[in-house]
Amino acid sequence: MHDRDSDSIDDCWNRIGVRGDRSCPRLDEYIHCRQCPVHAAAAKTLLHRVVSDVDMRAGAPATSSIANGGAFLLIFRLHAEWLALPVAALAEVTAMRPIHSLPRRAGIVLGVCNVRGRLIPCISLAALLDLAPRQAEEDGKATPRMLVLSSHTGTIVAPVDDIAGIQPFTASSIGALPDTLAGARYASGVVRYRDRAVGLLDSARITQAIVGRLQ
Amino acid sequence: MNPNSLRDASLLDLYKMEADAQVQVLDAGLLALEHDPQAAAHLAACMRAAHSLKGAARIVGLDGPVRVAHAMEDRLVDAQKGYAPLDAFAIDLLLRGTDLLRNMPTPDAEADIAAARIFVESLTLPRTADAALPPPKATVTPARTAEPTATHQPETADERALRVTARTLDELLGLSSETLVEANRLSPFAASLLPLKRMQDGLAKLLEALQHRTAGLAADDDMQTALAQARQQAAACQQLLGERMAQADQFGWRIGDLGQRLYDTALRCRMRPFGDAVANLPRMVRDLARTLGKQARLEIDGEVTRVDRDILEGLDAPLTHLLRNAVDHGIEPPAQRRAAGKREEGTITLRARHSAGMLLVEVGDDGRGIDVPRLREEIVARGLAARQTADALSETETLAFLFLPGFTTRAAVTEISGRGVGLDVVHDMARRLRGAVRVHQRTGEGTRFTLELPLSLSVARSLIVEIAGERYAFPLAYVARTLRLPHDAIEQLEGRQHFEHEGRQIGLVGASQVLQYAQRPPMGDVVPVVLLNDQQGRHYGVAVDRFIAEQTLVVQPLDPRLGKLQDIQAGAVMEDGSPVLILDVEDMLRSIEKQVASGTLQRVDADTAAHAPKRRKRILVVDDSLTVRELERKLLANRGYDVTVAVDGMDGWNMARAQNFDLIVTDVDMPRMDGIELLTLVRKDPRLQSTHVMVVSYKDRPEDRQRGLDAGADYYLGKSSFHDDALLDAVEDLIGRAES
Repeated sequence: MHDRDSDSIDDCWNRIGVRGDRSCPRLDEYIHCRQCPVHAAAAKTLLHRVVSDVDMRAGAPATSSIANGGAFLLIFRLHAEWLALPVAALAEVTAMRPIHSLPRRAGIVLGVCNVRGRLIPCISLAALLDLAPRQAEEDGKATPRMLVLSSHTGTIVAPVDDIAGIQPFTASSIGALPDTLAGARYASGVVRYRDRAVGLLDSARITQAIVGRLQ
Repeated sequence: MNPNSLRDASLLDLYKMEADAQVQVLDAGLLALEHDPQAAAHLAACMRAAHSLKGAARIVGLDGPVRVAHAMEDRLVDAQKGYAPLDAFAIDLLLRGTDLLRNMPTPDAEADIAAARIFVESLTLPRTADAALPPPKATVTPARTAEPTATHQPETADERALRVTARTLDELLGLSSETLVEANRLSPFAASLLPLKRMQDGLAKLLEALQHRTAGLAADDDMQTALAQARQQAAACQQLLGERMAQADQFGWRIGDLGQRLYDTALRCRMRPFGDAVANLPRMVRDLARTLGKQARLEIDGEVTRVDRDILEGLDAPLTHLLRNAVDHGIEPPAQRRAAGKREEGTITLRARHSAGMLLVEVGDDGRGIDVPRLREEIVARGLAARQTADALSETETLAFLFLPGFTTRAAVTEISGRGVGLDVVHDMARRLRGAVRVHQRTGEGTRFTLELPLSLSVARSLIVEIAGERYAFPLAYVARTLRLPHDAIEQLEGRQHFEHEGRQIGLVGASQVLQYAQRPPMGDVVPVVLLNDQQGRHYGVAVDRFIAEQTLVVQPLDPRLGKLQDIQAGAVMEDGSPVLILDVEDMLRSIEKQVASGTLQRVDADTAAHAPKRRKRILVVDDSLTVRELERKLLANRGYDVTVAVDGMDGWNMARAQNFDLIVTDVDMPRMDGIELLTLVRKDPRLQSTHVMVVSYKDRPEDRQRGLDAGADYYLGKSSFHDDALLDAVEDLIGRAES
């Protein structure tokens, strides 16, 4: 994700730092770029940069189109499928936590898990979406995470297999569903991310379905 | 306009706070003096309080309170010097003074001064003309009218300091528990540095050995210098690491300690001493007794008992009702008491204590007790039960009628008004706080009401166990014993396992089986067993995988969207951050009973299936009274219906969802979940839409009836009429004959 071209930020850590050829003289003092004030300053600049500076994919006009139906989407993987959810539906992404199952409960409810000291119901999105069972072989690089989804009905946690990140998409870059999926229950569109097709989930319909199947 | 207009507002606030405290001292002291007018310590305490108040009032320039306090002080000094001993009338007057002090300053300083003047005059007058004065009642009345403001003021002062929403407090608790978990990770981290230290030590030794070896070889000086430098560096590394490790250790210890204290304090936010809620009760009892021409004294025991804030607030109304009842109906007039050989002054005891993980609040009096035979008459007279049923009721069952709304035994128990006024309020409140209320009486010796409440709605001491690889908690209040049973101590009878404990055979049930986990871990050589007792005195041994810990858990209600989970009461987070579910032991005992019963049921079914393949209409009878439940069951079973019983609303709800019933017959007043709640749940559940519900209740008033029908009942039947055919006719109207 650092490969975006940007004039204002010199990504020296990629050129001469720990990710580059390590020729930076500051390395003697700081050992790792993340300890270096230059790195910190660049991070701060990135953080404070207004959205319109972010390069929109495919040269799309910036922020205004985000407001007009575009969205920031969280892209994640469940089993073999890549999916996206609007960031607005998301409270946080946390590391995996132990899940306590509930006796006599099956279906989409996995149990409850501790998020910031509160017990939150935990559900399986894969079961909700009726995904094909997981392939036995997983590449070692994936880091499973938990999505904390927040809506007016309450908070829900759902584990996912991997997360690619948060990306802005304009309304025009969200494609229609293929005709074969016209009756899809939860998908509302398709976006392209790194030459993959990613199914965009409708958060309202997902929340509704979850609430209906919690009991 | 007002000479005090420039007074400092914050100074005034300080005065009010001080006045609140001193007035309480005065109240308590005066009540004590009423008993023992010579008690020098109380006299001195009252004088001190009056004197300090006078001083404080003078500083803020409040003329009214200065005069009142001054006059009271004078009166007390007279009493101390023996010029004018304090009789009941004098105490009344002085108490009026404390009321005045409590309510001053009012916005109108002139009125304050006028009121003070009247008070001072009334106080100086009686010394010469005691007999000429109006009766004490007249002076008590204004004191009583002043009471509402008196009780409100300290409350508002309290809230100003403590207005925190329960949610914020919960969040605070959640965050502090997580802080504790994170802080506790520091010491393992510090410990994990030890291998690094050892490796460095090894490195230093290697270098040393190398230097020694090369020293003899007369190698070049450069090498020697380099080696010496390397050793120096290694030593510096060792030292630095050692220091840093010690620091990390210390830091870990400090942050752990802080985390623990933060957590404890957050927990303690919910607890308050019992004494906080009862400070004004002795006064109330005294005033009430005097207006009724009786003598009564309230003794409070266990003021330091810590009680959950929510529970303490909930206790206010029930305690007032119970105390009023005790004075009004329990304590006899002095003449009667004298005739009965008792002291003229009745004693009411209010006691709060922790017992077996519950908070027990007892209100007892040494009065006349309850006339149980007359109570039975009243039950029959009101048509609440047939004569036969009423006579068969045990004393406890009979006394339970006192808690019915609107039930009063006016003239039956007392002359003034019926006991039972307000008792349904007590009952409701106890129910709402997940507790119970019981009444004991001894004719002629007194009555005792016991409120049995959970210590806290939010914290529970629990035994943590592992069941099917997951953590569960038994609230300690329900655990009779824990045992580690050797495997060969378990015997089998008709395929059921049991063991002997203290001379009793106890059935053994697997916890994972009760919770219907598919996975059943094999039994080891030693089986950890939790002994549970139910209210009927039955004992069960519940086998778990292993015991983990005994811990205080912060109870978190589970997300309401999950619905009611059978056998689970709530959730909690353990100190290491892992989730744990708290078992609903009452529910669990019922599940066990049902699983035990269904074992036999299957055999009965197998026999009858061949003879009677026809499907009979199924009815679920929900009632907490054994007598009523059995009566209904027999009536319906005789007509050929297949009847199943449930002992309360919660049990009924679990069964209604687990099996198919054509009709649910439910009582209204039941522990854990009442009939209206059950009805509402049934009506909300799409799968139970076609189930008919009939409500049978003692509550026969039109508004009760309406409440039942509004909640969706198909039929509302007064209990007084089910001994005739009304019940059966109504059932047939609703679901038809038993076999069709």
